[in-house]
Amino acid sequence: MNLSPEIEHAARVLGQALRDQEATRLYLEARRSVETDSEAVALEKEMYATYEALIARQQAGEQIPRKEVEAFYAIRDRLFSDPLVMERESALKPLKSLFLETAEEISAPLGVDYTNLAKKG
Amino acid sequence: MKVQPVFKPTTAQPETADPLQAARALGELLGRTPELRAYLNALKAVNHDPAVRKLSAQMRACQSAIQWGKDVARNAAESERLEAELEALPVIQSYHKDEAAIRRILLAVDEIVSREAGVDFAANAKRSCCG
Repeated sequence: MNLSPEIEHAARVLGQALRDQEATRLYLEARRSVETDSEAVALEKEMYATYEALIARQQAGEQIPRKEVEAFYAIRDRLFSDPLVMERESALKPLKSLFLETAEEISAPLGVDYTNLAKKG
Repeated sequence: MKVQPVFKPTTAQPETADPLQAARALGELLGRTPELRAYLNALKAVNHDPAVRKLSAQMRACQSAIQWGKDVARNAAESERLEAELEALPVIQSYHKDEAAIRRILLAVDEIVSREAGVDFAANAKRSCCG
């Protein structure tokens, strides 16, 4: 997609401005800390893989046995009780507030919801 | 031959800015694109089209009947038929085309913002459904 140089520049300026915000810096730092913890990375991978497999089976009409659902929740609880993951999740909240407020500023002059139209899929 | 104005950013690297101001500036630029104007016109045309209104009202009636468990199979089939009829209307097809064009622009913009920020922008700018 070829954007006009003005729009491309404005998008870069915005991205840079967001990166310079404390909320983004703290989140990126917390995310990097999780990425260095191989156990947390593996557990997170396992949680998402389990979740996707269960959802696919459920959507195919299968009644998921309670034991399997509970096993999934156990993985999720283990992951989200990891101190590094907890720190990342708590850093995500102010980042989301900042991003939401920022996206609303884009939407105002557009007259349509930027977030809704810019979402993938 | 007409010489096109050349856009020159003031610095080689993007300057640090207030994100809200930067967002509004970006929104204003996007708001001036022909794709956004075409999309808004298409949206207006859809909202004012009598055939769209009629079909939408009929679809809502079917959905309501389904929710109340009234003649579910017949209403589901009718709802599907009405939806196909709605989608075939030129005003709806034109709307989808214009929507796809503005979406391509916004996706490209979002990719740049996200890359520079280091975090997915639009994906993290959603209002939470759970408070």
